[in-house]
Amino acid sequence: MLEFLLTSHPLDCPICDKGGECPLQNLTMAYGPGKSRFPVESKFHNEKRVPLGDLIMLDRERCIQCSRCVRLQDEIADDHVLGFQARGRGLEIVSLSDPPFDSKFSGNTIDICPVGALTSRDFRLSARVWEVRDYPSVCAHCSVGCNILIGERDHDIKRIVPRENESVNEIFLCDKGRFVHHFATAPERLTTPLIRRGWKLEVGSWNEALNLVASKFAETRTQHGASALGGLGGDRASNEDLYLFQKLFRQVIGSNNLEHRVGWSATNVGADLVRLYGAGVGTNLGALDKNVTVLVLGADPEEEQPVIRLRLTKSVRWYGANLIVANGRVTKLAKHAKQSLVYKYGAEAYFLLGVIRAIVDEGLENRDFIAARVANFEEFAKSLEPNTVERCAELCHVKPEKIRDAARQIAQSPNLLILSGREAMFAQQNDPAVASGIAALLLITGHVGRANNGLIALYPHNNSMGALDFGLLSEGGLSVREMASGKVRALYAMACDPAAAGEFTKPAFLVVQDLFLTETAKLADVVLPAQSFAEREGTFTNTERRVQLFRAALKPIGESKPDWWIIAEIAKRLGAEWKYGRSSEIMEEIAATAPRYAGMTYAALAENVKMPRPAYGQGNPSDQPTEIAMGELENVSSGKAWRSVAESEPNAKFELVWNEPGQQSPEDSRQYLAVARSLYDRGTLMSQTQIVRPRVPKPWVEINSQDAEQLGIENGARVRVSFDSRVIELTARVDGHVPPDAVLIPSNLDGTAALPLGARVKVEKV
Amino acid sequence: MLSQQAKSEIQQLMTKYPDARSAIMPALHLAQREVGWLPDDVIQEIGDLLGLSKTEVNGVATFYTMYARDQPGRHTIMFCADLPCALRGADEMLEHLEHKLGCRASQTSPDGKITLQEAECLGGCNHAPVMLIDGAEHAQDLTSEKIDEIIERLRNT
Repeated sequence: MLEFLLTSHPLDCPICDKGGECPLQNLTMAYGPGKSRFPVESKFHNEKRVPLGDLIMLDRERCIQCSRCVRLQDEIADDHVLGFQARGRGLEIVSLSDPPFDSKFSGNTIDICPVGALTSRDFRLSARVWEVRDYPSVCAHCSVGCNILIGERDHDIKRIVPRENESVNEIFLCDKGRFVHHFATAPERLTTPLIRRGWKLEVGSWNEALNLVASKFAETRTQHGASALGGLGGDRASNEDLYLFQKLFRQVIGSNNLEHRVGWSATNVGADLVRLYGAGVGTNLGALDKNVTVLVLGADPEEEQPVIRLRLTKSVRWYGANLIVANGRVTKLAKHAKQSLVYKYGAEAYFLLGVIRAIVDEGLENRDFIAARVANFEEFAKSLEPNTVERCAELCHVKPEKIRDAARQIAQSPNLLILSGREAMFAQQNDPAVASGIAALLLITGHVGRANNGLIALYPHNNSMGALDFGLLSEGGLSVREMASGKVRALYAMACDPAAAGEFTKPAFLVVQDLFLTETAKLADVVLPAQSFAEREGTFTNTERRVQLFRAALKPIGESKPDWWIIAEIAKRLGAEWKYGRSSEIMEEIAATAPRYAGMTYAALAENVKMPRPAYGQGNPSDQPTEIAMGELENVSSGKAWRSVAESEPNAKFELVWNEPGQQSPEDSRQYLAVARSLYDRGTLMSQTQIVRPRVPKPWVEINSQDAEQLGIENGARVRVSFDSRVIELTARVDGHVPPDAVLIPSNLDGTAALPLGARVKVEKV
Repeated sequence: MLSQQAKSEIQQLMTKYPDARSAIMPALHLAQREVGWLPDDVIQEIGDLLGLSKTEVNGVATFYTMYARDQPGRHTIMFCADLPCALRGADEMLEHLEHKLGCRASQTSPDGKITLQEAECLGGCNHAPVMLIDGAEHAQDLTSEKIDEIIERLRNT
């Protein structure tokens, strides 16, 4: 067999990227005959450089036609964009999608290619794999927190590959996580502190910069009081940074003006719900079977948390998880749902209420659970009275029988997970009944406090959860908008860029701590250079509340310092007696003081565990003794998740909250504006990576084909969208994904920042 | 572009199978009969109808040799290259045909009129050598003269 595989293999191992980690090479070395019986002249020669999209290069000569990449795309990624063409010796891999190889998981085909046929256009021919040192880390993009290995050589990141963790990312990684890392070593990185002298920002020393910040903070506090100081801590920073950041403000300065939700117009993000009813520890989104119903509410994980979309799809297809997708539009995930429900934007609460009412009507509530742990079910059931399923159905535009069907599945399923995304969080902000509806749905069916039960809120960034845990929320303090509009005298912005995210008025004194000279940094009085995640240690908490440790891979760029060090130095200069020598000491303090993070020291987080590897195949994973089938993974550091109140306090009683859904806004001839997000954007981190640039879409607006016809708009036409005083021009995408009377605009592309969700907009042809 | 009728015929075909995508081969045949070959936009249309990606439809269309992904001449000649025909001098006939047309097998003549393909047994061994014209007409007991005559006729129609 090996001899056959090698008949037309070019044997260019000395220049092949796969050399050193190539299964074909290894097998040939172990078992292959030294000499082939086929004449060299009969070898086929094929094209060696065929670009398969922007990210992958195909070498047709090396390809052994195993079809692993085709199957990965079809069966795991669900993007049917790779296929064979022709047959026999002419067989070759092609992609006819537009753009070619249009998948967010294309990089995974490089890993599973058993030869060097598929190579990364980024890493290609730039290093031998044995010269690259791998450092375990955690992806710093979205909130999934995929485990990665940073491949370092000569103080540069050569490549990023996934690190296997069955409970987070398995062996997968999206293309953003894999390719967008050049920001860490970009020449635009800040290397020294900058201090404003006159009109210009000039290079200063650390001591000078820190002294200036501390003295200005102290001065502002004595002159205008502590509440004249505010802190915006980005949710890209690590737990250690965020903990010290809030400690600086709360303990040392005495101000409660702390926020992290820069660029988010939602004020209610359901953090309370997660604290109470968060999905039980041990939930594994990639191995949910037919006993688990998953309700994905107002989310588009394909664009926001790609690996979660991939794992949910896998759970449905391999293990038969019962997926219900409810949103105001059709998302990619909906294709795999047993039930895909499209409700009317703005009427989310009525949808939830309809489901709750249907459960109570049919007596499907979990009486044992309610008796043991719910305080006020009778009252709650009574307050539902005026809202019949039919009324809710009429208001949310979902048929009553569909609501009843969903209700039965939710109530009768042994397990229920609710994943609420960006659009659901925006809905919660406009209408508190959405949040109370989610909580009530979990409580009356008794689906909390166990693995595979409860709520997962899909947050936007790698450490949004950590920022919520450490209370960077405007409870009692000023909001992001207030701080950005000059309501504070001194503002400390760490790892965030409020000036790029919306209107920004510079306060009297502005400190920015970031990797780059961002829009906000250009306005700052002092700019402090921070280190990227690749240069330091720390922990991130992912959207499933899993705290994960990442290690340093690179030497610091220039004079940049870890965020926590900078904060601690400022605190010392303000008189605090802080003694932190390394970030692990901060985590020890967190583990000792924050109950949720109890016991989560670096040593505990780095602990290697054995993890069963699930068997892949049709059917229910719990039917099969998986450890025997596929063995165990050893030496996996899986991270630790903190427990929700429902788990940690088994005797706690919960209260159902009744909120009458908000009044339906009167009929309006203008379109309802829904806001989504595109995976590839123009963000600071993305813009440093050339090869993903073509993947960043031009700003677009999605319009329903009915509306488009009425307005005379064709697919691809330029349209003008106006609301309040703002007018933007975009390209129209006409399709059936958004409902009539609504338009969808991704909010992180050129000129589309800070869009007000739920606003009424006017769309016209240019 | 497929006609409305072809599209509805494909939709009809889809109902005959438990899984609609199974209709891909008859759908490709139908499209090829209508358009003459299978250009990219037709591949896309069939994919849209069957719920398959363009890449998947292309995979099937290129696997089977009787689907044409390249634009053929106005007429297609399939020339039998199997044993009984070979025993009756098919090789020489093919060579003659190639000279006459000015192209090799699996190519189209320079004037764009006739595409020549080699084929497996066409089921006319008792009249070998045999070729099939436009998928319908058997030309049998071939001689150089017969071939010349046929080519003249095809060139003029």
